[in-house]
This record gives sequence, C-alpha cells and structure tokens, in this order.
Amino acid sequence: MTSPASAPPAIAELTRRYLDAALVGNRREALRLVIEEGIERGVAVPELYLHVIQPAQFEVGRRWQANEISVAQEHVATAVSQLVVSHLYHHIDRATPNGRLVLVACAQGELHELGARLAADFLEMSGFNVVFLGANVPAGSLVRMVQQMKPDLVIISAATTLCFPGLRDMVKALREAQADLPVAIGGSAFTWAEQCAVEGVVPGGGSAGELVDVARRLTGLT
Amino acid sequence: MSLDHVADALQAHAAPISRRAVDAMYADPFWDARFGERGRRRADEDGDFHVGYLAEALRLGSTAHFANYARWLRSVLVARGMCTRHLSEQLRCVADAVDALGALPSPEDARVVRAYVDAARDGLRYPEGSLGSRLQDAEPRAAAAAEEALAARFYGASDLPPRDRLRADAADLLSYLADAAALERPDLFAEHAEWLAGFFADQRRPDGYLAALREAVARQPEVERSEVRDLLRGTATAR
Repeated sequence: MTSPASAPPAIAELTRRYLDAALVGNRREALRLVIEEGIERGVAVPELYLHVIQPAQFEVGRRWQANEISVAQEHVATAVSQLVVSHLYHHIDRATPNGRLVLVACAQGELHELGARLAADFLEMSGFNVVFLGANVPAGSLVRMVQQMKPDLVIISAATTLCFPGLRDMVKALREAQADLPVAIGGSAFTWAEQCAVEGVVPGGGSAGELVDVARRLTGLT
Repeated sequence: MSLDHVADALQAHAAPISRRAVDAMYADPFWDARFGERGRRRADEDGDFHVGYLAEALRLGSTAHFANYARWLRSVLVARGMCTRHLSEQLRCVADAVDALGALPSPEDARVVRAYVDAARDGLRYPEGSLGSRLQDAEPRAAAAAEEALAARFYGASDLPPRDRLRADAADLLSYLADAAALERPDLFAEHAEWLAGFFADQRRPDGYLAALREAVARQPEVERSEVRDLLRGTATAR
C-alpha cells in the first residue's frame, strides 16, 4: 500500500492496521484505532481523514481493481469507513462560523458518497455551515431543499462520469430555480474528464484545501 | 460542434448495440469456456458501460475520456483473466454493432463513433518504449510468423483450425504476455496458460498444439528477451 509521502511512520502503521480491520469488517477495532491511537494521541481529524481513511479507501479500491478482494469486501470496508467518519465528526475542530451555508450533494445516480462526506466535514471545519444530502440526490429534491434552506453555495460530487447526465439535470434545475446560485463540482470523475460540459459551474479543485478556497471565493469571503 | 445528438441516439439504442456486440464476441467458444454464464452477465453489463461511457465521451467532445475509461477497464479485466486484445476487440464490436444496426442518424455520425472507439483502442497501447509496448508493436508480425510456423508444424493434420484462428491464438498469447510484462504479473500469464491447455484439448486442437504455439511465439525476436522467455515458460516469479 502506498502511504502519502508526508505521513509519518506511526501514521503509516496506523493506516495499515486500519485497513486490515476495515477489510474484515471489524468496526470495533477500526474505531478503536482512530480514537485510541489517533485522536487520544493528538492526531487531528483532518490528518486521520487524509492520511488514514482516504489512503485506506484508495487501497481498497486498488485491491478490488486487481481482483484481490471482492465487491462485497469492498463494501464491507467502505461501510466501516462510513461508520468511523460519522464518529470522527464528534471530534472535529471548527473554525469560527463564517455565516455561509453550503449544501453538499452527490449527483443524481451517484452512489459513492464517502468522498463528498469528507468534503462536507472539511468545509464545516473551515467555518461553513454545511448540510450534507448524501448519495443519489434527485434534481427536484435538491431544488426544493435549496428553496427551503437558501444556501450560499451548492457543491455536487460525482465519482464517475456516468453520473454526468444526472449532474447536468441538477445544475439545469438549480439554474431555473435560482440563476445566481453558485454551483461547484468535484469528485473523482474529474480525474477522467476535466469538465462536465455545463456552463458556469466551478471546479472544486483536487484537494480539500482547494475546495475550501473555492467555497470561500464563491461565497464572497475572499 | 456538439455531438449530443449522437450520444442521445447511441443511448436510445444502447441495449441492442450492447447485445449485438456481446453476441459477436460470444460466437468465439473461448468466452463461454473461460467465463461461463456469470461471465456472459458481466459481459452484458460491460457492454452497457461501454455504450454509456462512449456516449458521455461524445457529450464531452473528448476522445481522451473514452480512452481513460478503456485503460481503467483494462486494469480490471486483465486481473480477471482477459487480455488487452480482448478488450480492444470488444470495443471494435461495439462500433461494428452501431454500424450494423444503423443506430445513428447519419453515416457521418457512425464515423465519429468509430473514431472515438479507435482512439480508445489506441489508448490501450502501453507507454512508448516499455516492454509491454514492444510486445504490442510486435504482435501483428509475430502472430503472422507464428501462424506460418503452426501451419507448417501441423501440415496435413485434419484437426488443425483455420489459419485465421492460428493467428488469433498467437495474437492472444502475445497480448497476455504483453499484459503480464506491463503489469509485472507473471502469475496472470501462468494461470491463463494452464487454463488454455484444457481449453485446447476440449476444442480438439492437435496434440502438442499449445507447446507448438508457445514455441512459435518464443522464436519471435521480441520474445527472445530473457524476461519475456521466462514469462512464456512460466518460470518468472509472481510478485
């Protein structure tokens, strides 16, 4: 498994053990690792997200690709990470609230939601008020949510380009409902395609830090 | 120029295009024998994905997008017993099915689709200068030479397949070799070669056919490099 070059050896070892636990569906051990050997030893949530959970999930994907684990094992590991991220939410440090509301949604048809969930948490840590809508959000539901909540920004995530038609439907519906509402897009689909053929949407960048910068800019904070 | 109308027409005919492309593949007994009923279901799913990603590439106006998909899919399929040449043929079958079904509004639209498919097939070439790339470059000539060698070796044998089958057998074997070399997965080649012995017996190829095929391939200049010879002999070490 490849660990980020910046990850210290203790984190790399934690990642390895976390991956082992996740692959066998050992939720208790995975959670114990990030809490007792992460949080309680001073490792912050962003570091756990970027240097433990994310690389572990990348490795899960790589092993599925290489036919080393089954789809079921991949789902088991992802379910463990979903649970762990939910628990880590209680431990995140938030910057001073900046008064901006962001809706984060996965594209219509998109079932991969972990990346979007991490993005939502990073925005919240940076001071945004965030509502996370989860996987496969229908365009009509998104519009109703926007009308109710009046967000300053909507971010739509797509892990595969097959969801681009759904993403376009969402953007079109948002434009019809509120033409001046900023919309940013992100997700691993954009490693295959630089754009999604929709005018006026803003790429969210390739990292959590870039996404936060884009969100600040689109909501008038910078 | 927007290609949305081509993408829409493709997706409107996605099911028959996919079915026809997979049927064309499964005309070769290799597929049923190697992957069975479950493989057929997966092939149907893959056919739908091919059409879906092709349509999206057209909407994006990006041949690179479809090539990215093809390269990603190769990494998945090669790890599951296929070779690059199989995927390339699958994609060609999609373009053939589009033509045969007259699925698009105009011949020009069909030519555009063929160009996107060809770009993805080109995208399956390994990086220039790599061992995988050299084996891919050698494939047409080496397969033709192996065909001649097999025809000579089994001259007069009543159970010898047609010449184009001999060439295809050699081309497939070379493609498996290229993938094993490129991915540094000698185990994948060894596993395939082991399965192939039983398949050739079931298909009533002449006695000694697999050994002769390996020998014919091994004599090709590009294969004489020691690392490829080891792969071919099954003596390379799995990672």
